[in-house]
Amino acid sequence: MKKKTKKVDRFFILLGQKLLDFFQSVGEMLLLLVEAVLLCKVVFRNLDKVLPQMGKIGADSLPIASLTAIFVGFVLALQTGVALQQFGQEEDLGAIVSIGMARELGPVLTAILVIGRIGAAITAEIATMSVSEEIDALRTLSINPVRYLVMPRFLACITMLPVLVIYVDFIGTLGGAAVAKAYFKVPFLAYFDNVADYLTFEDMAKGLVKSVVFGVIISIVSCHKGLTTTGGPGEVGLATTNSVVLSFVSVYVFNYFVTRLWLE
Amino acid sequence: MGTNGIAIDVRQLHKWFRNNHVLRGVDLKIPAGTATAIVGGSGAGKSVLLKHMVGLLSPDSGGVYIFNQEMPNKYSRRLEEVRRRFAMVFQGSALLNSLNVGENVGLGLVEQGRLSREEIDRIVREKLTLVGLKGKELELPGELSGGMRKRVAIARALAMDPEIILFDEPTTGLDPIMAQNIDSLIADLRDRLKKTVVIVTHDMDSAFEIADLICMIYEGKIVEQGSPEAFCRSTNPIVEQFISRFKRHNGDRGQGIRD
Repeated sequence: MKKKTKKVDRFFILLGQKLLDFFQSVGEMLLLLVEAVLLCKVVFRNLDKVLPQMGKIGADSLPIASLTAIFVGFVLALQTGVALQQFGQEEDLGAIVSIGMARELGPVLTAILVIGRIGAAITAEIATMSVSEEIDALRTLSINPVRYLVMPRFLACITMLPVLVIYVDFIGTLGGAAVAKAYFKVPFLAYFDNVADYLTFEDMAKGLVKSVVFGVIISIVSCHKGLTTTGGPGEVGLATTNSVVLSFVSVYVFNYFVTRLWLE
Repeated sequence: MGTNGIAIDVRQLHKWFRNNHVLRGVDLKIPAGTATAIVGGSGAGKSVLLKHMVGLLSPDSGGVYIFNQEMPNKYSRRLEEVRRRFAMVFQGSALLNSLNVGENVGLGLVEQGRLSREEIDRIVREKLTLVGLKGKELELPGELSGGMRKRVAIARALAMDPEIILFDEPTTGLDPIMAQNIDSLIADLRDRLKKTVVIVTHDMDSAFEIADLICMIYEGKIVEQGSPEAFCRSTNPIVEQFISRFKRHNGDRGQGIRD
């Protein structure tokens, strides 16, 4: 009986500890977000840090973004084309592919790409700096690590993600056009006419707003996980994994709620 | 020993890490313009105490006073102002690997944005010359030996012209000759530049070479403090045990202690 009570006690203590840790992390991330936003006022004095980050997130991601987008465009056109063909509606492929890319696939795919390519690298870099006391060294030099490390990555993420999304939307739609022409004999002109008829500015804007939200999530989660890493090199790998998983889950959850909000 | 008052005053400092009570009421006064060595075994709380002095950790109870002003908490805007009076040399040097030696040394000055590029370059050259690394500005930290990295970290600390310099295990992992060089460099800083120096170490040779005051921390409390001579003659069994090896090598009448 006593043993069972001890086990139950331990379970609740562990649960309580995990809950406290979770809420503490959420609180710390919100504070980090507020500080990063407030520090954006000194962006022009820190362009030497912001611009390289924008290059890493934007320009350096273009090859992999192109590859991902074009194949997603291919598949989307192929899958929907087969279904539409049964009703003789292949000419609507342009609308379906472009709206699908603009509203959902563009922002989510780009977010996944940036989490894997940039979010993981941000956490690994900052976590390595944390465990080797470089962050403490910055503090003792009166350098605010949030200004030096977080704000440039935050700004780069929220500005470059929408740019990447526009690019991914365009390439994906182009991929769809190629498949529409090759497999379903839809001429390019008809495909793009259909895109122009149905794709609205609102569709694009919704995707871009989502991408900004994803940019905030990726940068803040990645930087927070890096800054709070303690211990040795083994912790760096663990922090990176945790950061990637948390970013993925947060992006999926926020994507659902933002979409639902708009549909209401 | 300088008599310009108390630079760092630690009062009844307690610190817990979850259930681990690391500092258990530390009381310590560090006079300005002197070198103080904090010695103790691994896990005694030396580095934790040092990090409280520079505001990298906040006390759970008690406080740290810098020139009679309480160390602000980590959310206070005044913290950066107080930290400008400090510089710290970390155990692993903590150089930014993405920056070259010159950029590391000038980092604090560049980020402050108060001096011109030419002035910063001049200070960087001057401090690197002082630590014996003239002309190494363009090398990357990864290309340097452990001793050279330590010296770059010291140059970086000096570039900020602090009143107080904290050293966390400055000679750990260095060969005896390099350790001796670092000790001489620190002693020189105290004598020539009149800085207040605090060294955390378990290297008794270093402590006796540099310090005006030696404090022993054991299980989160200061158990002994005094001049090197008094420390060497301490009858406290914990101190006796800790310095027994040093005494065997140097004689138990304090031979090897600097004049």
